[in-house]
Amino acid sequence: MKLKLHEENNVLIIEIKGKMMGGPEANDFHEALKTEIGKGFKKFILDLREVDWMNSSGLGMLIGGLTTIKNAGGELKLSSVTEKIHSLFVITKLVTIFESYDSMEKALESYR
Amino acid sequence: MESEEIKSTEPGAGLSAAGGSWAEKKVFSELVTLLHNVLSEMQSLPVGSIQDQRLSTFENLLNRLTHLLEHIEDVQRTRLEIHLITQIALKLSNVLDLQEVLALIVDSLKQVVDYNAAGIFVVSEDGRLVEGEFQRGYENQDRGKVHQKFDQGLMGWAMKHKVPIVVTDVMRDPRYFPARPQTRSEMVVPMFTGGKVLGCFNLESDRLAAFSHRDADHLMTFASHAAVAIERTRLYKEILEKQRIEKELALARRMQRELLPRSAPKFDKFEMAGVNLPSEMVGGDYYDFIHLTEKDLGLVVGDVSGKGIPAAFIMASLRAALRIEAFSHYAISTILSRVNDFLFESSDPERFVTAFYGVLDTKTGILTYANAGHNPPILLRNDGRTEFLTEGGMLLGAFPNGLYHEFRLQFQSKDVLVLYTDGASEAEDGSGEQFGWERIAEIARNLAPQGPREVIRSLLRSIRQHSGKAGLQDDVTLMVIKCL
Repeated sequence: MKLKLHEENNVLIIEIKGKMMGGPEANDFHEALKTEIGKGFKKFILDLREVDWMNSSGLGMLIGGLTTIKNAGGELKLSSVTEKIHSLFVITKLVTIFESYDSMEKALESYR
Repeated sequence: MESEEIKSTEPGAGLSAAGGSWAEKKVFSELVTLLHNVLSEMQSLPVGSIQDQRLSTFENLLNRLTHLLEHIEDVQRTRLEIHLITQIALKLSNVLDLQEVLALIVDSLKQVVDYNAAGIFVVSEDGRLVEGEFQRGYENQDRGKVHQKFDQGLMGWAMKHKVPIVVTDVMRDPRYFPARPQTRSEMVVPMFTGGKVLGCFNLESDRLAAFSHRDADHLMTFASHAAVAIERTRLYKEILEKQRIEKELALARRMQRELLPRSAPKFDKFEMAGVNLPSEMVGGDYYDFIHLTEKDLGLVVGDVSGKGIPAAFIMASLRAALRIEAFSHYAISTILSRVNDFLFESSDPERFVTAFYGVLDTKTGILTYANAGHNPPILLRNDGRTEFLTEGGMLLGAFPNGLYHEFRLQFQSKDVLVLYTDGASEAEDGSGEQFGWERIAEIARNLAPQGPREVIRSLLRSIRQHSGKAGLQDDVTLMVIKCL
């Protein structure tokens, strides 16, 4: 799993690539979130376009991220969730918790 | 140049050096002093009072004697060093106590290179500090570990450049970082393990110019043994840590096994079977048959996120919470809501459980259930239809105030319900292809006439075959209920 962060219109976009399987990488993700929240970011988008797979620890990482951001008074939205990951969200009912958009444009649009 | 000259004296040196003693050295030393005096006396004579040729012959003789003496000293030091190193190697093979081995190294070294203080320092795990592993001759040596920034002082320089340094006057060296007020000269050599800098070995003296480059060579030899001792202790600790983890995993495995049902219950109208196959890492799978009343049977299949001890503990909490709530006769929606809140309060939101819980009335064949984010159980109807039990609510333990809804279904004769965890449906083959619920459904339908036990046996065989050499990456749990 690889993380790439950039900012657009005051929204922090986190691109995730590869398999989300938790472990030490989950710590990197949380550290990155805490740092960005510390910088004052409130609006976050997770770009999951290039996430091939996610296990329960990967889901846990997302849930943890959402909780951290919400507790800091921020918002987290998902963009470009693949069909495979979407089916996982449906099974676990997380689809009702995560605000998800087909594309980055739409996700960014929702923040305007 | 120097070594060539030593070679030329070897025939003579061979005899004296091989059996050389400090007494012999003393004799030679006195001889040299004597010759020195003669030479300087001769030089002070007016020019021409002695033939130049004779003088140069005499000079040659003196040089040869000086080298011979140095050579004897070298050979003697090397012999002593070999003797001491052999003792250290013996200690290394018999003693596991690092401090004891390092003490022997530091004390043996003193016989070869004299010093007033010695320290063996090791780079910390994050590479930012050097920590004192063993010290002699420092005032603070007993007050816990000495720390210093990695790049500080002569030690930092030696480790950064990976070369030994000999400083004849520390007060004149800008790199010097004072740690001991009496020190006048110092020598540091880096220690390596597998090409990486492990730390350094330093010697300090109260005299100016106490150390030569030859001394640094000797120190390097001793330092290499110290490095072996330190590295070996680290590896040994790692092995112990690994064994500890293995023990914990075994405990988790046992805990998990003891909390799972030993056998499946039997009813007039229903046949059932369940299995849990723990993976190497120990996941947090859970299944249960809960005898609520004579005719009502609670059915659970759950999967805790993550692996190892934490997952096993949450699995145990889930089981306890669910059993307590289930016997309180609340509606399933209430039971799951309470279990959710309990798990949410007792673990990080990142840790969660997906679970299916249902109550089967074995007399009427009605199953009341709620699916909390779990892989949908597959209901294979006798008429060929396939239904999925998806509805219920959010996975458990991640969010507060969960809301769950319960649903009902009526079993018909020869209907088969298959419950499973993702360890079964997501078991991957070498190319990453998942086993999939479709295969589960197909095998279950084919084997249904032979009963739940056969369905499970066949499923496990197929999942194992599918996983191939890679083996199971996650726990596999299966439960099969057949209406007779």
